[in-house]
Amino acid sequence: MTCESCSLPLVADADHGASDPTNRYCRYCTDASGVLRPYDHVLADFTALLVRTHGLNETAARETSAGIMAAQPAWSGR
Amino acid sequence: MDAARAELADHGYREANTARIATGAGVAHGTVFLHFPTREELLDGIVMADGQADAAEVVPHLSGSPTLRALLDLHLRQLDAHLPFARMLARELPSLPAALRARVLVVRTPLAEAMRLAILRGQSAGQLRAGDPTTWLSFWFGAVERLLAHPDLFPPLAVRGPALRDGFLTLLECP
Repeated sequence: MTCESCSLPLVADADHGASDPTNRYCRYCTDASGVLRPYDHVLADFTALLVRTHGLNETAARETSAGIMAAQPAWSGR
Repeated sequence: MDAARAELADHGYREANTARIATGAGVAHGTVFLHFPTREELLDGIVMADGQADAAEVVPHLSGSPTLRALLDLHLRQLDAHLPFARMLARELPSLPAALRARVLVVRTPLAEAMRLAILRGQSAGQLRAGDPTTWLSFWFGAVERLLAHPDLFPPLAVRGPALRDGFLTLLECP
């Protein structure tokens, strides 16, 4: 199972929003109560995650994040 | 999946042949297209499946605040489990379509983030030198990718990997 917003793997309960295994989104894409955050916030945090874990430059990280998110169900209507 | 992984490992992304995958899997040629209509979806499916399995292996380590050494060992084990495929990815990553390159990065993120947090914990405890964890991780992933991409030049991962791990930790650990 993967996050329907950013496609990160959802393996443990803690990976899901609000640690709820039925939540289709990950902890990075949701607020404390497990609700999907606005697109711009998710994009900014996903970009920052790729920068700090892989050392990507900001532009590449943002393009990568936006490309992945565009293919996810949460953002298919955008 | 195993047949497709083997085909991609042997022939690379651009030369992979669906007829050989079907033969290897013992299914009709059309069945391959039923599951994976395009070459990109085929590789994406394998990367996703392996990424899920790898992430599942990271989880048990997280509950116990794993050391960086434990996570480096886990990384080496995961690469070794699908070594020919990992070599193909390391060799061909720069020329893969952008969406596939993005996918590879994303599935590696849980382990990379766990390593980053382990470095921060080690630094807070005074066990690891100060420094930007992202930069340290770039050293590690760069060294491993180089090893994987040129198997004809370097000793096998099973031999060189532990030496790289020990050298990397020697650089990071406080005397």
